[in-house]
Amino acid sequence: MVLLVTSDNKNFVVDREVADRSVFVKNTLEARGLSIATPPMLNGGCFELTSPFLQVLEYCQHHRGEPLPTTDDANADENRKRTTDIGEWDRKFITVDHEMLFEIILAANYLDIKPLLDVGCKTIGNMVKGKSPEEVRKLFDIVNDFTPEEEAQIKKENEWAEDP
Amino acid sequence: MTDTNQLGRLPWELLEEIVAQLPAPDILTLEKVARGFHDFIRSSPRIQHKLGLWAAGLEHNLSTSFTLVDSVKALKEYRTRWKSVNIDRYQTTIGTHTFGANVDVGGVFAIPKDNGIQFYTLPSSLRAIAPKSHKIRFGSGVAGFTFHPQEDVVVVAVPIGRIINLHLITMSGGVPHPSALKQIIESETGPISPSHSVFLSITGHRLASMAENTNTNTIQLNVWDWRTGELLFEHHSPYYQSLGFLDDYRLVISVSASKHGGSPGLLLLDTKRVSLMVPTQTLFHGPVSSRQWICLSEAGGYHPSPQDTLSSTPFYPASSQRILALSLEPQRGFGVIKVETLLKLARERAGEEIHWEEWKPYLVETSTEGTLNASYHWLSGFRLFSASVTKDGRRCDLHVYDFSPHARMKFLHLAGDGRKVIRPSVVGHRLPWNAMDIHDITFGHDSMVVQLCPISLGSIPNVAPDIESL
Repeated sequence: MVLLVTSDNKNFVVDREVADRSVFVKNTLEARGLSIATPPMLNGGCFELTSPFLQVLEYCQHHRGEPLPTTDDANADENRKRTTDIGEWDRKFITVDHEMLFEIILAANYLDIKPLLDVGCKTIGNMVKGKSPEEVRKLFDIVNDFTPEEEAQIKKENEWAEDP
Repeated sequence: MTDTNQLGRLPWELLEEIVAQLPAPDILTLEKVARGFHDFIRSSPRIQHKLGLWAAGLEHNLSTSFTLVDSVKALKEYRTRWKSVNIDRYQTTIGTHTFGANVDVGGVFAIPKDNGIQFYTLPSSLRAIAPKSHKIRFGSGVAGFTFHPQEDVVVVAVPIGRIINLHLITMSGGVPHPSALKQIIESETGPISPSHSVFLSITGHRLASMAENTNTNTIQLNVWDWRTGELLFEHHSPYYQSLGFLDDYRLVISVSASKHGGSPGLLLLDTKRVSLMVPTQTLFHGPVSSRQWICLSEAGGYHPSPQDTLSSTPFYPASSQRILALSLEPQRGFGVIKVETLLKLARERAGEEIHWEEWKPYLVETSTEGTLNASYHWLSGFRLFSASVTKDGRRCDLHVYDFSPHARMKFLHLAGDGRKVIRPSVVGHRLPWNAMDIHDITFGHDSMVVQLCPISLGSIPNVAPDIESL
């Protein structure tokens, strides 16, 4: 069993097999020969960190014992690209509000849980696909900060500028 | 990236991961969402590379939700960036320097001009930076020059009278570098010809030069620790041809066939410990073209920083992966290999001669339709360009080979020996030009500079690459 402590000081006791889903935790445990890992700040403490962490734990529990992806495979990038589909369980798991989705991605990135990170990134990618700029702005609450002059500039900037 | 939205809050690498997996039309849509996205997408070499492949028809993402019509529309819009390239600004006159006329390090290239060197950053869709130019002047001609992608230093070989000096100067200010100039050759037979040429290669620690020594009728190789000015190694051979550093210390030298039983190939020289420099390891024996070159490339190329100016920015490569290409006898094609693989090979087979038959898996065959002109092969980033003139001499075909890890052609594992090789099933593309027009071609990250012979100035409006034929 491993004791994990979040940055807002909540304790979680989980199986080693579950904790090992996180390459960060796995390496920390192996390096120090310890059974206790303390992930430091997940995200500056601005949010309730326990809740994304609970989600991440749920994911780890579901996928416990599966082989970890290897990083030295030259075709790993290609393989990941090809599998644009997200598994049924993962798809349901990741169907959360935007706030939580981003928290999960940040946590997965920090804890180095590559498959979960992929699921998160693909989910955001799928949200963007086929949308117009205006729809994307609405979706993620993005302000169009181009001035009309800049918009005109963008059209023009592909032309080569004059020699200085 | 502004912090006011969730996407903008993601770390840069994650955002790149998300954007890079999108179909190209979606990426182009994202550019228009907000300034942060626009700047981010334009500044990511990985994303730009993907767009470049897509525009060249090399990458298809079938999961796109765009209709064919919309995709074609987006593609056309993207390609207008290429169409707008104004090539004639970069013309130089033919005949002043036939050798070493261009040096291309990442997206920075330089040409000798008016007793000096003119540097350019290529305008690139990376950040849509304006082309910058910068000039360093000398009192006389330039026999060869090179610069380092990460250091603010330019090495220039300048013949003056009977002497060839190497000057080390800063690229940013054009002022002498703290390391002093070095004399490489003093001719006893008279003034050095203006057409004398010097091969140069520089790394963070070493500088190597190769030049014809008219006193001995041999090629002279010098290796320095350029920061201290110490000459580490000096050797003459009539068979030396070309050189290039594989990494900070290991120098690869190509040699021609020797009359005394030697054969052409590559030598590896470890310049880290001087005591180990001789004998050199023979890496490769085989039919290296007599007009051969070897060519080393920084993958990813020059990556402009946000404050990009030629005068203030140190240069840094976007990736440390490198490949080496060498031309073999005409019609035989190219040997292309990852430097990493080459060094591994050298380690495993230390002291042994590796016959060129073993290199065959690395060979990339070029077209045998035309006659190959050795001056028309070059490597930029992960792309290898080969221009061949058709037999009737009227047309020049430009073949583009893409060795990048993201391209379809992969570095594959060969079962059994565990060595990685590049599969020779190259994706080749042709750009037809009138062969007589082309003097030289230089490639940046995603832009192309064609230097034309003055005689065909009238045809400039037609020389923009015919993208449709890609």
